[in-house]
Amino acid sequence: MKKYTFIFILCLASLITRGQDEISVVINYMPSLSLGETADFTKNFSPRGVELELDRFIADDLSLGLSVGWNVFREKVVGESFEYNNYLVTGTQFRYSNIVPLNVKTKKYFSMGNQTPFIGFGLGTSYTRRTNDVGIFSIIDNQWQFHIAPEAGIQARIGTEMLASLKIKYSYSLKAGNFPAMSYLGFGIGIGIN
Amino acid sequence: MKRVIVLPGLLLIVMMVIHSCSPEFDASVDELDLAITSYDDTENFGDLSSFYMPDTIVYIGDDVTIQREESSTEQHILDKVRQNLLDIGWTEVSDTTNDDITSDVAIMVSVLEADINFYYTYWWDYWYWYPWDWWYPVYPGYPVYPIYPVYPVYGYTVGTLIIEMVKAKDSVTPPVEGNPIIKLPVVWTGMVNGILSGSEANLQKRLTKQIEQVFYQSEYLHKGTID
Repeated sequence: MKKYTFIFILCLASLITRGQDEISVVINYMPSLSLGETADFTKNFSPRGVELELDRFIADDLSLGLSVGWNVFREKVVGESFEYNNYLVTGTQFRYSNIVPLNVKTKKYFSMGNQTPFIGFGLGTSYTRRTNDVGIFSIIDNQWQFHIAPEAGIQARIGTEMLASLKIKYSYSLKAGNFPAMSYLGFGIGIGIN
Repeated sequence: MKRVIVLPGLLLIVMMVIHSCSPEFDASVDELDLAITSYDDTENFGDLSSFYMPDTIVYIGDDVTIQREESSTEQHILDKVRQNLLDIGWTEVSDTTNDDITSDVAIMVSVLEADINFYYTYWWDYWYWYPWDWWYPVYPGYPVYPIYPVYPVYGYTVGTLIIEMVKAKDSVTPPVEGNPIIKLPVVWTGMVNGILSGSEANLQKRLTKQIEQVFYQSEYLHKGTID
């Protein structure tokens, strides 16, 4: 918990400057759908997701920035058996996937009056922690992975400084060693300032 | 000015979402029960079909002198283990009047109980190292405690039922000098693990379910079709 909070503060500290009109800060509520091997472990649509974006405009229609997010998927699996260290274990499994992506991202904007469609691409890393609580035991696995995140959406200005945004974002973390690739599709509803 | 208000506001929302974003399922006690099995994969279980089972449960612990009260749960466990073995096609050998080993395996049933307690220590535990200087005289009416004790907050007892299948006709590795361990040829182990909580009737119901699961998931032990 403290680790994740620190990451958020660090991201903010590095980007907030006096260039007020050049910077936008947006917080997105990001419910997501688990895909691929993420869905193999925790198969569901999760309402638990958040993302903080800081973008600095380097041209009228181009921005560069940082984003950090946190998505939680969970699933209760009843009656399934699994093998662990030559033992066959049967019990109710409480599975959790916590994914924290940290990206450098760029966005291209297409101005259309008050609404601004955009496409973006993020590149960075993600931290994933998978927990399987079974009985009184917990099996925990975690890994840092290389992460990519293309996205597309639309932003609208509210008043002189406020922004609202809607977007779809695909997150993919590459397989690392024995740790599987993690992927999910996020639907962002955001509010911010510019 | 708006940025000064809105930006910290956004940060606050982020922190609140983070702190609420650690959802855990609420699990009932019976949802924490486990059935665990392992076996010797070099063993041909087709050659084994008869068992002998003593009518006692061994309690694993440090103090062997503890006198345990007889409970219906002990007999319930033995009956269920015996019944499940018979249901999957094994034959019980109960004649122990002579010294010949007439069963293929012996079934050993044992129980291990462990108390798990969760303690909280508070930050003022560390006040003990603050020196009392002349500004704060120690009044005789107020004893100075060198360290605050820790307080158990909550705890529970976890029980593990261990069912072991030992090949009766194989030789036992005796202890050697410097190593007092006796090695038994255990070809199959079934374990039931759970929190000891609730009435005896509820405990027996949970034990029945998990003992049946232990034998259900050990298909290599089955001598015929299971129901």
